[in-house]
Amino acid sequence: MTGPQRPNQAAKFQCIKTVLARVLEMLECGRVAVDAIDGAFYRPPLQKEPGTLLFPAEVAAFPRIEDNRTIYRLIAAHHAGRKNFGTVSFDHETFLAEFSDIALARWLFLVCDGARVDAALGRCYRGLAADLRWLSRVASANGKAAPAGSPEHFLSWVATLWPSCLSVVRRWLSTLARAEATVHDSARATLAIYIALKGAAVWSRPWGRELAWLGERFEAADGRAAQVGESTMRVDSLRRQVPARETDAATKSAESQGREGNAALDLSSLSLEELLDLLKRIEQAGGEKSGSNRPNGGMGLFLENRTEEVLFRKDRAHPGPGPEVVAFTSSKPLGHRSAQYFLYDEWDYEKEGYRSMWCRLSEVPVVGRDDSFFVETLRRHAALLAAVRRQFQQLKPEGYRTVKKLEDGDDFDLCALIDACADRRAGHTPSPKLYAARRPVNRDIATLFLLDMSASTDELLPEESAYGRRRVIDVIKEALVIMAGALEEIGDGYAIYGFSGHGRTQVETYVIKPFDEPLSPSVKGRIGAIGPKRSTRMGAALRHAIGRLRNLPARTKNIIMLSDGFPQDIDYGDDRRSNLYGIYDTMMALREAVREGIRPFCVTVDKAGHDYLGRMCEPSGYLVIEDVASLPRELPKIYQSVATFSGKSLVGR
Amino acid sequence: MLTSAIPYYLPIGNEIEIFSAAFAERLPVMLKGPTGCGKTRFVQYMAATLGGDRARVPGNLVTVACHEDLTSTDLVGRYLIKGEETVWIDGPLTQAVRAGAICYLDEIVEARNDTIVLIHPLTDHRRILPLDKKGEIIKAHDDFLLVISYNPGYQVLPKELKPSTRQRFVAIEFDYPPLDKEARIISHEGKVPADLARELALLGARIRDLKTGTLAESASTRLLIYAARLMRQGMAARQACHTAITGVLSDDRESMEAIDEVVKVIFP
Repeated sequence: MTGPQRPNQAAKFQCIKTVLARVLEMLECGRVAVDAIDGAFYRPPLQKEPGTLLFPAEVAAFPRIEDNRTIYRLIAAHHAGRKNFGTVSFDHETFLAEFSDIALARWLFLVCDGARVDAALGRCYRGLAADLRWLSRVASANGKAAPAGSPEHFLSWVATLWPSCLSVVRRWLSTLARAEATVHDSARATLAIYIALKGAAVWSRPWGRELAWLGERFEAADGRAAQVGESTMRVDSLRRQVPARETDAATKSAESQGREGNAALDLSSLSLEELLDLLKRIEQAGGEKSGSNRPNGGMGLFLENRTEEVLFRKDRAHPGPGPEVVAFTSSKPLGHRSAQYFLYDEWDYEKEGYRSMWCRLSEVPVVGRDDSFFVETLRRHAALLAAVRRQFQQLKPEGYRTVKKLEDGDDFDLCALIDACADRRAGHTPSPKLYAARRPVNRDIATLFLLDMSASTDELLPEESAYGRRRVIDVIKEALVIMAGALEEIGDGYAIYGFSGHGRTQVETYVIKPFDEPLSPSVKGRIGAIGPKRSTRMGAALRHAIGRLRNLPARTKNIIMLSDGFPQDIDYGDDRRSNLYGIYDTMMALREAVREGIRPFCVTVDKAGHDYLGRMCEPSGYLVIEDVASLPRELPKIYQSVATFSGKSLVGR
Repeated sequence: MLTSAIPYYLPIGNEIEIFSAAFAERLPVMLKGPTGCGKTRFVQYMAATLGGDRARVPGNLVTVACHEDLTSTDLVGRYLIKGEETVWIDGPLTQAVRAGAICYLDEIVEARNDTIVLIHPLTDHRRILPLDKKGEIIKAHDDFLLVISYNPGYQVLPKELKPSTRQRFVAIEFDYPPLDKEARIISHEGKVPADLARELALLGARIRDLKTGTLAESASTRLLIYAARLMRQGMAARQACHTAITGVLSDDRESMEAIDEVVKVIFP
């Protein structure tokens, strides 16, 4: 008596996509994007330019999740094998375009090259070889078909539908399993098996006799020709003879062999060129190039239908790694306007003086209750955060002070020593605390992160990450999350403000985390709610940041401004075509910070940043990050450089 | 008589020739390389093979593991109270300078800056060690050699050596050995068959393909040897690799899973 069958424990791509990306990285694929497509498959579809490596969204072939995870591991290894054993460098699309039944040819290539790659992987990795054997064994033991695309599956399929071709297929699969097999052998095998299958499918047709004769000739020629040159001559010779050789003997030979006759087609020794030549003849004989570019019927059509059903249906339904935007932020307004305004001067470079109380700035509280962005970012960048935390733990202290009356230390504490001598003379037990040591002084640093929240930060990054397409603002937010996590580790004071606005009377700063607020869930929610707004009036925002730092008791004060472009607003200078006004005003604001004892540092992800930041700042006061995506990694390093700055130039990047 | 056996060391490049030449000229040596790639073993090997008879003198290599609380007193020495007297006790650096040993300051950048500058007069033509507290200047023994090491991989900007310190040394760069040599090292040190050692070396190479940022440090040869030694004790390969490598390299769940997956790719 058996109980109710338990459902299989599926392994899901979403749960292990980061793991798979890292496995691929370790298997010499470099940093690659991974994505899932619906449906279960064993052989990942061939991709012309495999920028994103594809996996099934879910694998539930086996009851145990560990076994289903093994399928993911095998697919990941196969992706790596394609890269490392030549498949990726082979222009399979051009090759497949030679075939009239492209779907069949594609599937055959997938099977043949898959067998070759698996064999090569098995030779390199013992664990993988065992997994492949296990898969074959378990599939058979459970009475299930072997995974579609595997050699076992293909052989059983051929044995059922084209028993006459079995020996050809076996021979080729065996050839492909050899260590010296290359992707060109996969192509040759594809071609040869294709010819064999097509020949078998149309055997009953009139030109089947010609094929039979051709097979006979090849068989006979095979023993004679060992060299490629000879082989080519052989084909040329055959080519000349084909039209004239419809003799009765050849016809009889073909008829007597019947379907089995095709098995005599030994195509292993033919060069790719020869096989292509043969392919052309078969295509022409079958008249399959006409019409819809599809076979007229019979096995070819069945094959194609079957192929699509098994392998390519899902692939074609997949739109590919398109511009999917991972929307982390809400499109709703960030918050409501505060009634509190601040008036700031602005530098007019043409008049060489300040425009008094020119800008009206309001502090806008950010509303964000959902901390899922923060939590998710921490999860995604857990390894990076751990590394940054370790680095931060190693930050040197700002100074040393002498601590006295210690049991061990660098030097004697003379006062304690005199006391000890006096105690001894008086007959008392002296204190063992006779030494002094220099101990590190706690850090006393406050840093304000000032974010450019202009509309341009809505721009998508050119490259897709493992988590989908991201905008510039998303990367900035991720960098902030890493920073916040790391700064909590060392206890340095920090605040986060954003800025944007529209015109001189509507400059806005967004309060994300003031200095006096801990990293609470609401702060995490506010970081998640950061989104692109309008313009970039940097000067007023910087002056406001200076005001926020001015009265703090910290010994070292820094402003780190993160932006994606030059200062710009609708009325940032009289000439809207020129950005000089904004650049000079920002330059003055940065100088005002320095005068206040605050070290400003500008970070931009704008590749043209050198053009204007070079005017606004000292060379050691800014950094242009060419690769936006690297900001989460770079920002902590920048912070360390800024926080430990002691008059030396920052390392140029 | 005490004799020190020559430790096993498989040369990767021309590091032995470079070190020998530096020693002949008494030029201080800086060894740069990742954790567990064989820097310390190299110094032990060189100390045991250089200097003829002196190589067999116990204590011809003085090793100091530097840390952030290491002070100049810890290196040079200090006065201690002994009864009614204060007694000067030489630190390890002073001992090496007097005896003509090789003084190996491991992970020098971990030490405080005021400690590091102490070695400056020892590393130029003067070859002296001032003992400020004693008012004494020691001239280094002819056979004295200063060797420092550090790992540029995980050190961050503030932890770098100052140029004024760096330029007192000749540098020998180390990296993890190529696969074949690493396999030989693992096989020798872990006492496992060559094919198993080769698979461990392959695992090391694969893990090192993980780019900076994912792991604080990559799999060292030392960790691979640990895994080999666990296997020698009968532990299953996957378990041994998890215990000696995966769990050591990361606490991040996804990184650990990824490493374990690659372990499974290599070991059945």
